[in-house]
Amino acid sequence: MDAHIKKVYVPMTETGFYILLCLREPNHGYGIVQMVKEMTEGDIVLAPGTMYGSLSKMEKDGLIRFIREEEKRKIYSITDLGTEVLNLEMKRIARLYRNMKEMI
Amino acid sequence: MMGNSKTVFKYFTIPQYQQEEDYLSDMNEKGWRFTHATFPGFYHFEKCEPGQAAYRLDYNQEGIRNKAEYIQMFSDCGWEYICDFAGYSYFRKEGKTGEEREEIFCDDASRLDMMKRVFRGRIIPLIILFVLVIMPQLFVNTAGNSAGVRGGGIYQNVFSFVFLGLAILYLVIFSFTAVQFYKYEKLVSGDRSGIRLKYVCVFALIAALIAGIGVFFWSSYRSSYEVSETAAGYIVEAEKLNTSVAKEYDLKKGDTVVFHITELERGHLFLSIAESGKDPIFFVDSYNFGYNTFEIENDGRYRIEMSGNKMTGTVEVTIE
Repeated sequence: MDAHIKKVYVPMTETGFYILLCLREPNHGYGIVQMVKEMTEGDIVLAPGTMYGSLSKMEKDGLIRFIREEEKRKIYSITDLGTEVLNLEMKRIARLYRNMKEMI
Repeated sequence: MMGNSKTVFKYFTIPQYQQEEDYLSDMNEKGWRFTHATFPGFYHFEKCEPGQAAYRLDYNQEGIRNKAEYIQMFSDCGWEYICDFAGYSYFRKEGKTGEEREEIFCDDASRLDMMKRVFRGRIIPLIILFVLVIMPQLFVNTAGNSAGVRGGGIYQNVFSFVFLGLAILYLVIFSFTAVQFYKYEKLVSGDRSGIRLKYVCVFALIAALIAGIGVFFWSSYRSSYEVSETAAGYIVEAEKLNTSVAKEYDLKKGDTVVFHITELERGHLFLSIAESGKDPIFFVDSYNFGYNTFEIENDGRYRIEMSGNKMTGTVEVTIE
């Protein structure tokens, strides 16, 4: 993983994290929005400008790849690099959670 | 039917998209629904039921290139696409705009990303234009003007004001953008001192660049000349004459003033004779080389003046 990716994506925004988490299965932007809404019981509603920008940036950086288009919706899936970044983030968050639990 | 649509001219600078959003929401509340915008800043509205609606602007050139898919994403999320104007895409969502603002960005990182896109797409071209065209033009025109060259005429005055206006407008836009950038970047990243340092460096760099260009043009327009009095007049020898030199003499009917212009290499020279406080009674410019003579018809005090614009050469004024 090169320095640019590390600098931009580690640690990553909540939006970025949910995108990668959801794209372990192929999905389109709005599909991710719905999944996240469901997962967080409506607390997090990802906004379209953020989604569109993040998806194209992640595609350009090789974290996700475009698979096909369905009814004007681009379907993406995570790449190996994306998985690598996601794993780093998951480890970081797991540690965060562990430490929190130990302290309280 | 008349009265069902209207057009308003409104100017927002590039980073003022939030003011633009508020303006469109206000219009909607007054019963005017935004339909499209045309160059250079005409906002077209049609009559609608007064009501609250959120208007949002995105700047995403990739979105404009893949329009169908881009619009689909927004409409899936409940945003109605209105139009594109000057690189921005306009979206609208009906409903309350009160406490909980409807947003098309849900985090500061993506808001900052949008600003970066605006910066790359709109501001950088402006900076290039500013440094390469506006700044030099501003210096050329104002420097030419301050030299007091009458031959330059009114167009130079107009150009000076146009370019001065543009330069000020640009600086305002740059500062707006810089302040907005700074605020957001401070929000997004915790490392404040680093960001401040970065902005200070960028400002210093831009200031140095502008100062450098300024000094370059200033020095290229600075006059360097010598005036020497002679028994019957005066001589101006100039490496660069960017100003005016005048001397007054008491002259009598029958006196002849002789201008002798030599070694004129470039630039422009304007010579005149005027009775003190009056309009010139004789003038000639450097396109007429060699000798020029003028015979005085009335006794009086006369002002003999030469104004140069980047003139190089020698001019001898003799009264015979």
